[in-house]
Amino acid sequence: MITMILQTLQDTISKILAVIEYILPTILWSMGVILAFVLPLGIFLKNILGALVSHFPGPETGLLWVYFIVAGIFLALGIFLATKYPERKIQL
Amino acid sequence: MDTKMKNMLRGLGAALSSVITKILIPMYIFRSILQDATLMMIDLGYTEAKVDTIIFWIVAMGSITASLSFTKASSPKYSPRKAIFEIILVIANAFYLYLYKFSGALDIAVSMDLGIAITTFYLSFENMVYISMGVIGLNMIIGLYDLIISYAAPIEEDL
Repeated sequence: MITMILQTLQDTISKILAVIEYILPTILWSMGVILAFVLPLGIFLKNILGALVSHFPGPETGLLWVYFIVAGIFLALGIFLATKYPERKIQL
Repeated sequence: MDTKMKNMLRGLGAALSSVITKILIPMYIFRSILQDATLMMIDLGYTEAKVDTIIFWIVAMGSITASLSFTKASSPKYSPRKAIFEIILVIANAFYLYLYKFSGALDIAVSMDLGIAITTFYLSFENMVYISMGVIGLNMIIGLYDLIISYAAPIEEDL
């Protein structure tokens, strides 16, 4: 009886270990990719954006309309292109 | 339905979803945090001025990303202009995310009044922002790849 229970326990543990063995490299790889590539890329981008954002008009200037004008330009451009050149055959 | 109408509808759908997820929902959340601040036991350290700054950046960058979403989604599939607007949209998204941090939305000082004791701790989302920025950087690379493909090896598919 005890031998059977121990056998079942061993089977279950070995199954769990097999799953872990299968998953662990994927987790470690993704962690490695994040640490080696994504994180430095993020820090690099953040530094660039930090330098650029300091030139943006902030809330103290009350220049919210500047952003609306930029948004409006992109929207107008989108509407123009969508109606004037709806097909991809024209290379634009 | 003709192609023009299809393009416009696609663009409108994308712009609408962008307005809801990037402007209306964050705005509602920050406003409700401020309104419920007096009722809650937990204080997140958001003041009226801080929330105004956050909402300024949300509305400013959110409107730009929404209009760019329209322009990108209304472009025909696999076209060079779709790839170009995708890259511009990714850059705008990066600014949107950065300004979230810049405006102080992620500098959270939690104060809890438990009756017998008051406790304060700080939450830092710095690494989360870095990882999100990294993902945005990867998206930018994918956008560049799409642009190169659209010029070098255009996909000849009837749309």
